[in-house]
Amino acid sequence: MVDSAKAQKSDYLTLRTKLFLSSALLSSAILIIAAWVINNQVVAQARQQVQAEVETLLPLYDAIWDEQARRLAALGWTVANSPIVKTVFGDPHAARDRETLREMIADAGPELSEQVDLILISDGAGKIIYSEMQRAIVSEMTEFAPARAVALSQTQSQGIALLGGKLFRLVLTPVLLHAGSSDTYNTLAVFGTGSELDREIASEIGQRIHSDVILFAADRLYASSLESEAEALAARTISSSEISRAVATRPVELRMGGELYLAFSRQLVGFEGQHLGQVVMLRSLAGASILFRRISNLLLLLWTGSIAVALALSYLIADRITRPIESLVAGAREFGRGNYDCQIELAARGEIGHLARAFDQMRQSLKQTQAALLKSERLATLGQMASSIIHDLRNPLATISTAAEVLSQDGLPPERRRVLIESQLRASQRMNGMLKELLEFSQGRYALTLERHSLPGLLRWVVQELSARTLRAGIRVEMLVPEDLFITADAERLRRVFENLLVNSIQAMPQGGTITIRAACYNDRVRVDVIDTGPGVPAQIRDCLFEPFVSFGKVGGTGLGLAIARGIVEAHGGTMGLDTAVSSGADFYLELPLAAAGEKEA
Amino acid sequence: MWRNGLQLWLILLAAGMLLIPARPAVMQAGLSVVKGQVELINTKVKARGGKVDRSGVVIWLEPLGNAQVRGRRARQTIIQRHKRFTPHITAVELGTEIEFPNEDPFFHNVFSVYHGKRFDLGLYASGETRPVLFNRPGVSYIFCNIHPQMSAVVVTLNTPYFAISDQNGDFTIKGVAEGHYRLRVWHKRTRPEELEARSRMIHVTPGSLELGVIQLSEEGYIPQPHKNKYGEDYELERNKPLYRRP
Repeated sequence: MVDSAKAQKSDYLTLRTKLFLSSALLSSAILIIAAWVINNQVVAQARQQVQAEVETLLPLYDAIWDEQARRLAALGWTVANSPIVKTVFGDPHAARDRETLREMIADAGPELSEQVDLILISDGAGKIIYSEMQRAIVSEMTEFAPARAVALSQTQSQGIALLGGKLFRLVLTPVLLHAGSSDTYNTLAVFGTGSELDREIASEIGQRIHSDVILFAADRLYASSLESEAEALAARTISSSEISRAVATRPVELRMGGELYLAFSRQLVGFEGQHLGQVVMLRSLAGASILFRRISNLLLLLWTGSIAVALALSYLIADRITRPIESLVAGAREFGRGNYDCQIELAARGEIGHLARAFDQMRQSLKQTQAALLKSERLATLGQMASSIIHDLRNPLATISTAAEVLSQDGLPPERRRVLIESQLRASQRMNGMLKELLEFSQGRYALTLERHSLPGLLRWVVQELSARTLRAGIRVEMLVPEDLFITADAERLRRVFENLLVNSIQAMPQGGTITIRAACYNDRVRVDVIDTGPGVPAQIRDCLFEPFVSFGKVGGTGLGLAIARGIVEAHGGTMGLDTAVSSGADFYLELPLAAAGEKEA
Repeated sequence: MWRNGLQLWLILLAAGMLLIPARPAVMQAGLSVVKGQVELINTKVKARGGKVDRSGVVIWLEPLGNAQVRGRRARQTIIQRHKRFTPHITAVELGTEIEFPNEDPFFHNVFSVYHGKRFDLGLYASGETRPVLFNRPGVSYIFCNIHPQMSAVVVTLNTPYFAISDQNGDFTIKGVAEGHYRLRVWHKRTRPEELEARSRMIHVTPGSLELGVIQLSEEGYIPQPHKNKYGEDYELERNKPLYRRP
């Protein structure tokens, strides 16, 4: 009972857990799918967004680049058109005086010293007469082909130049004697203004286009807006990428240090249109991953929330379903025990409520049916008992009436009369005893009058008693009983037990046969077998043979006999049963304790 | 600023020393010393310590009638050093030659286009010098054609009796012969009309003459950038704001 309750309890928990687990699983699955979809969408979206941004960034980059070039070009013109500069260059001696040029540059205004890292001056024939790099005069430079070209063409020219291992954006401006004249000697000098494409420039462009800018020249990283560590990584990554070689017009995706970047490039072109290197711009896609991380966090929060809600909901639902079910189960269990008065909780609504109400209806109708059934069964039992009693009382009554019949005849010898009267007396005594026994059976207890008796004596007495019937049926009775067997017993009752067994055997053999009565001692007990050669006990009633009101094919049998017999034997501290080992006939046995030696014989 | 003041002072001292050895030759009985002080009002130029710099005012005595004038035209020098002309203001008697040595390591181009003496010495290298004979009376504004910040003034006078005021505005004209003179004043930052109004007749008698305080107003003076020798601006107008770095 306790185990089953435990099982019930665990089943109940399982239901709740199942409910919770399934809802948690469902919400988790939905959220995982949502996260996957969002990730894909977000990353794709971000990629598109960055692509679109790059589309706008490239023109912006070009604009910044051009603006820087224009600034330098404008400065070049300002310097070249300065009367002072023209005066100096107009004098062949002053134009070759390094100190005068240096002073001239120093006086030319703050822009020149602030923005210009390289100053290159050639004479009217294009021969370099002055070069200054980062405000230090460089003396070894004598030739620079583009300067000659400018001196000849008398037009401003610009390009990227790699001079002394440094990368410059250089503007070469002719200093003309007369603007508009194309005379060969109109060019007084060529004034070159250069600004180094250094980290500062890269950072400035990078800041304005919100990207990292890397300058590659002569197949190596020249300058960048990156930190030195990132720079080394970028140099490796970009060198191995197609963007460093090809004239890449389309952005290329790069993975660098676990982060995704979109790289796009622009060429660095020299004065003669030669490829000197490129500017690579890196646009991080980190924004997308940050966005995704933020969304993931939100989803995680949502997931936690939904799990909590699922937990709460499953508990609530489980409570609403399982509690009424539990109450129903308890009610059903009470019915099973026969208690039909157990009230079922009818408060539940919905399907469970219907079930509870139906269950209660069933309970009530069952209760009524049960009551009716009990009543009819009691009546039936009463009838069975009555017929059984009648059956048992019929034998002595027949004895009495037969004796009375004989006695009513005249001329009976007195001896015969006495015998008849005695048998009548005995029969009435037996009837009395039987009625008393019935009463005891109905009350369920036997008041035994115990005395020491001889077992073979008792048996002989019963055989004698039934001799008329055995004779009539042609049955031979064999007694295989040792003489010195004594038992402590209620003789009258025990006689009834044996009588019952013998009568059963007689009734089972209407065509005659043999009844063997055998007794044997085992330790301090004696076993008595009553064996007949009849058809035997049908298998279907073997198990319930000793139940009250069970009979096997006897006409008018009530089936109370064996039940009473077993009750009597058990009251004597013995056992009674059917030995099923025999192949034919019936072997009823009973075991009784032997009487202790020395007891007085009744 | 103090350096300028000091230099000016040194130059005055040097000028004085140049004059002193000449004195005994010309100093005779009956020669006078004319003293005075210049005061500048409404000035916008301050000297060190908030004091008004009263130097650079040229005071001279123009002889009238029979006044005896003796020339002492010693050679003068205006040095170009550190992109400056020193002295900044020089007064010379008509016919005096001034040397313009270039003591800077680079070229200079000394020129003058104003109403005194017009000349253009052209570009010449460091260590070279070129002389100019100031044979026209008047004020000559001297510049360098490739260094617009350089300027000097040479006042060419028809008299040997002149002086330039010092920092305090004091001036002394020595060895003036007895006679009638017109006292004239020239100051860079005073309008010509006012300068003309300050001129007056004086009579110099042997001994010492105290002229007292000559007050000059600088009101209405607007400094203007000068042109180069071609009459153009030194620098082209620039569209600076557009190309300034952030």
